[in-house]
This record gives sequence, structure tokens and C-alpha cells, in this order.
Amino acid sequence: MLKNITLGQYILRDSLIHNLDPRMKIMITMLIVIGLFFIGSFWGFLVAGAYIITVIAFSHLSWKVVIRGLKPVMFILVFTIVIHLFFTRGGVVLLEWGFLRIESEGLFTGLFMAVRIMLLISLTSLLTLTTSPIQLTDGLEYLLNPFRRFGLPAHELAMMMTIALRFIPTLLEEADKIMKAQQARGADFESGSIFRRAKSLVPLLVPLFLSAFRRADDLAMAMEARCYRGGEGRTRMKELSFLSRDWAALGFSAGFIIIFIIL
Amino acid sequence: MAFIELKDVSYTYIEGDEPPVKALKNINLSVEEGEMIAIIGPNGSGKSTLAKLFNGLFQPTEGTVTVAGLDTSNQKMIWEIRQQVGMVFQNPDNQLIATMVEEEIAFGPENLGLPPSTIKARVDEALTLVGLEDFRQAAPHHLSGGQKQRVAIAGIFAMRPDCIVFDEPTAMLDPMGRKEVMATIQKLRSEGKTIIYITHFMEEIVDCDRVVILKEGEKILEGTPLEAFQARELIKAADLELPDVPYLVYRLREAGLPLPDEILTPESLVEKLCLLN
Repeated sequence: MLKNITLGQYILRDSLIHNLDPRMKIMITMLIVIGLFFIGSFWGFLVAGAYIITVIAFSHLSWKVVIRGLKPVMFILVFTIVIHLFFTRGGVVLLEWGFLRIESEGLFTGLFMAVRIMLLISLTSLLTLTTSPIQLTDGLEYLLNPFRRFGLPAHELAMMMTIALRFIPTLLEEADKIMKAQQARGADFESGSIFRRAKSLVPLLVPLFLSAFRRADDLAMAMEARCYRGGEGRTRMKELSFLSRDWAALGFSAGFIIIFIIL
Repeated sequence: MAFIELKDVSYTYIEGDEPPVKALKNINLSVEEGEMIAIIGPNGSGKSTLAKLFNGLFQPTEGTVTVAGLDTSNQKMIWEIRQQVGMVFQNPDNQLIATMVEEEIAFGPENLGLPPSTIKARVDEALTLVGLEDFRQAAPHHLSGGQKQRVAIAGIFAMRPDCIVFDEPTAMLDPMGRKEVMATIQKLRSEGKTIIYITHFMEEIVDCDRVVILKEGEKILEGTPLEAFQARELIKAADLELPDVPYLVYRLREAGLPLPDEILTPESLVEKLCLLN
């Protein structure tokens, strides 16, 4: 069961969006996110919503997956609306009940913020739904590379991410093994208060950390044996290059950004 | 001059306040180009330490190690040496770096700074050699132990080394995986690669050109596999076990059957037994 875990929420499809250069996808996502913060009216949100719907249509993903991505932020959405309802003042009084008072400005700002968060989340989850973790890492490395001269270790960050992605399944499998071995000897991970359950994880974490350190040591040795000496002088088998479809996607998105900021 | 030369090599582990441990004592060894040499010994005999001396991962405390005329203590040439002497480790899980098989094989050539088209060609070639063409895009954690170890071998092969050191590559594999890895090693051998094979399974050394037995950091025997199997006292002293066939031949001879001593495979045993009538 553990062997089949997929990392992140990437869903494999053969679509225009999936095949775009990851660098372009990351840049466009950033631009749109910034654009969303400049939107001043509900009309702007409508256009932004239309943009996201178009992207979903082009990505061959089902609606449900994108909507499912909104579930974890449901609480934040409700919280935002409630806070604004009761604490933002201005406009006509809509409701008064004891010390609680709802004014029209509050309702408006609350909904406005909620819609903005919903669009932000669905947009960023579209990025991770259509881009595999490996592509994301590659894209980030390329994009961060110019910042090397300011001391940003772009290659090292990307290498750390790759190794983390590579070892998550290995360590999960190991944790599962240790857990079973300890359950066989009577350890109880499932009952008791949260505090007790957390405490019962200590004997799981100690051997897990020990073995993680041993693995790190082995891996460093294996990397050195294969002539790894940092990003300097290293080449890549797969080089990223922008195609015309990437520029088309950029132009399309830029058009939308301009429209929804103006509105 | 031999491809790899060890002269009076000793290695001592010094850790904190603990008393120093002498893992290797005065080892002299030369490895010729194109030969397959097995280094065998029980746990704690220093065989893994020895393995790490061949490509400069460890520096000898005393003595010198030279690879193709280059001293491994020469830090300027260390990457040149490591490109020439590749290394496959025991645990397949702890030596794979990338999340995809082809990226994994490309890792070494990428470190050498080769152009992308060359790397691609080498990855294809390595995948064909180990027979994993269909697993190009697979994630390592979806592969079996034997497959992972073959990916590791492909990753080394893609760097075009002259020599590959195998540090107990089959110790963590099931019999199936062991067979796959041994077959791949034989393929590398037929490609003309020099092979240093470290193990504690005596049945795996049958095919080697030469065998070195280590015990407590000392070389106690150097010879052909046959000579190693015949040195029963030494094998016993080194806590090793004779493989089934030589053991059977030994017991049959003890029981009075006039069998020759140089039988190493089941086929030749059958043949010799049939000749007895």
C-alpha cells in the first residue's frame, strides 16, 4: 500500500497545461497571484474566475479535484467572512442584535476577501496538479539561478528538494516497519489521550532518526563516489527551453491580468 | 604497472576518545586491468574499508594507493580517479539520489559536465546494458531490490569507468535479485571492465580470476578460487563457509571416493562422478 503513494497532488494527463514549461507555469502563477491582489471590483474577480475555468478546461482535469483543493481552507474562508461581518464598519446597518451589528461594508469586504482566497488557492493548486514535483524542482532551480550571485544557493536548494522527494517513500516504509515491529511487542499507538499518543511515538522516532542519519551518511559517500561536487561545472541531461506555446500562454495570461486589474 | 596498486597500506579509525581501531594492516595488492578479483572476509575483517581506499573515499593512514599511476592522496586528481574507479554500495536504497530512473543514471555524467546529448546517449546505453529500458520513467521506490541495484550499476556504467568496485552488492537482496546482479556483473566483465568484488558469500567467488581472503585487517590468502577452497583451515579460521559443491567434494573424498580436487560447479561434479564407474 505504502509503495504506491504519490507525492504532492500531481495528476498525470496529456494536456496543453501539463506540457507547458514548468518555469513558465511558475512565473504565470506568480503574476496572476500578484494580479489578484490588485483587483478592485467583483467584475475583476469574474474575469479572473473565467481565466481559471479556461485553464481547468485546457488541463483535462475534473472540476471536483480543484474544488476538493479548497476544502482545507474552508475554515479560513468562513473565519474571514465572520470577522469582517462583525468587525468591519461602514455603510448601511443591515442587522442589529444586542451588541452584534452587521453593516453592509463588512458583508462586502468579507465576501470580497473570501473570493480572493478561493481564487488564489484554486490557481496555486492548479499549478501543483499539473506539474510533477520533479518538474517543479527543476523549474525553481532554473528560476532561482540568477540569484546565485546574491548568495542564494539555488542548486543546493533544488538538490535538497530532490533528495527529500526521493527519501520520503523510503522513510515512510521504514516508519511503518518499525511501528509494526513495536506493535508486535505490545506497543500501543492508537489509544489514549493525544498527549499519550504523542508520547508513544518517541520510541518510533528515535530509531527512525538514527537510520535517517545513517542513510544520509551513505548517500553522501555514494554522491562523492560519483564525482558530485556541487552545482559548479555540472550539466543537465534535460535542458528546459521555452517553446512557442509557452509564450502564447504568457500572452494569454497577461491579457487577462490587464483586463481584471482595470475592471 | 598494475592498474591499481596498494603498497603497505594500513588504515586506522580514530573516533573521539575511543582507542584507535586498526582496520587494515600492511596490505599489499595489485589489481591488473580487466581481471575480476574477489575480496572476501567475515564482518569486521576490513573489507569495506579496503573498498573505500580504491577510489580515494578514504585515505590510507600509512602506505600509498595508486590508480592508473595517480596517487589517491593527490586531491587535484581525485575526481579523475573517481571517474575511473566507480563504486556500487551494499544498500540499494541509500545510493540512489534521483526520483526517476533515467535521472538517476544521468547523475554521474551530469557531474562530469558532459553535454546533454552525450548524457542521453550514455543513459540509453546503460539502460540497455542492465536491461531496464522499460523502467526509464519509474520511481526507484517502485522497483525491487535487484532492480534498484541494477540502476545503481547503470549509474556507474554511464560514467565510463575502467574499474568498478562492488561492496557487498548482493548482501541485502533476495536470491532472485542476487542472480540478476551477478548476471549484470558478468556482462560488465565481458565488456572488459576491471572488477573488484567484495563479499562474504564464498559461492560468489567461483568465477573470479583471483581471490583475496581478509581476516582482522590482514591478508591471509591470495590465489585462485580453487586454491581458496582448498585452504580449508584458513577458511575455517576466517569464519567463512565452503560453498555446497566444494564441500560435497571434500566430504566425498574424505569418505574415500577418488575424486579430483578441482571441481567447482555441479556440472563438473556430475561429470566426474559418472566417470567413476
